[in-house]
Amino acid sequence: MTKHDRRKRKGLRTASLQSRSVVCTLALPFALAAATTGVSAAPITTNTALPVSEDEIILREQLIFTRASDEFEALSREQTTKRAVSVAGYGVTSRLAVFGVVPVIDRAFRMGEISTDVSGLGDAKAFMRYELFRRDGPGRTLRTAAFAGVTLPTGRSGETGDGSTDFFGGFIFTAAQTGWNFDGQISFALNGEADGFERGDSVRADASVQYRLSPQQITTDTRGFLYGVLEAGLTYAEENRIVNVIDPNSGGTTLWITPGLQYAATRWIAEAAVRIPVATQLNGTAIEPDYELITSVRLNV
Amino acid sequence: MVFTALFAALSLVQTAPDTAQIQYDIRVDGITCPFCFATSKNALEEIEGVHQVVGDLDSGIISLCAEESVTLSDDRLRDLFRSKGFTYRSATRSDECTIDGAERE
Repeated sequence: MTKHDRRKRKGLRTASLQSRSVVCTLALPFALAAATTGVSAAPITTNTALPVSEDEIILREQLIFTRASDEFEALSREQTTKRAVSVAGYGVTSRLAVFGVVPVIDRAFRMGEISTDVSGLGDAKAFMRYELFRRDGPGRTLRTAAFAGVTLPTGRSGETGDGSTDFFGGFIFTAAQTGWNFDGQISFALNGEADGFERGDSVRADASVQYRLSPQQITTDTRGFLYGVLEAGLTYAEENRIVNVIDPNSGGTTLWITPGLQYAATRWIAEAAVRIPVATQLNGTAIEPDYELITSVRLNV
Repeated sequence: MVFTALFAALSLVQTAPDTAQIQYDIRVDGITCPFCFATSKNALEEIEGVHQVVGDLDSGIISLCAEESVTLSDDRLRDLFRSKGFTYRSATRSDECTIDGAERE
């Protein structure tokens, strides 16, 4: 293997790991968000906010475009990732819901004259969420929930997946009124090892405010709400390990701000947001994210 | 003779719903959006004899028209809204339906 090949492999590996970290920051929240049943205006960057009533099914389809780029040893690096993330949830009881998340990934990476493109099924997730506390009032609610789940190695190891079985969990807090919603959550991921690679464990904290922009007055003819959404997320990831050796070009801390819009109708919700990294402190030469575009449609079956 | 009897029977069928509608006003806590309301509305409309369901999110009041024979007990409503993720508080029954535009579907 030439030095060039080694650097290429290292660059690709770093880029791949970095994108996995971004995938993680997106996928974990799938298990979070709007705490349980009955609260619809959930965060956009998180999924498991999905409100699922007993014996009902909810579906969500997200299209996510991520771009990352920088200069690395006088060479420009660019990585674009497109993801179609399908989420399904089922309300086992009024408090307990189970979810499945299946991503399909297309990732292109270019560094100088070198480029790669991988695509296929990503690592699927399964998790359950249990409502711990609920206090309802007229047109308002407070809820907390806990969730726990597993990430399965359904993607191709080293390309569209980690190859390892990972575990994650966390807590969600939701306060909602007819005019606004607030969601706060904290989560962690404990990642396993496969093929000599172990992604660093991670912790993240998220906050989301959804404010009703229209209509200003609710009537019996009101068919939907338009929300303005502002979210913030702080992600910390430990360095990865390759054959039990720390990869110094992985992990770090990123603070995201995400403005967006969300329209909630009676049976469906459509939303769009742009996720912007306002502060990054990544280790070594890990490629830095530029932005992320998220669109999503949710159906209550 | 036969025609007259048939006409009379049809007239009874058409006028019956207007003379046998009652109204329930149900106080439910925790509903904050149209999306949330829709799940409860659908569940209520699945009850035989319930014709129209409307809601006021700010007050948390869901009103429905139903045939006179429909009885919605506290236990039944509590279970229904609990399964949807909300909290049932109380219900009052009126002998006529005053929901605007109420009609048999």
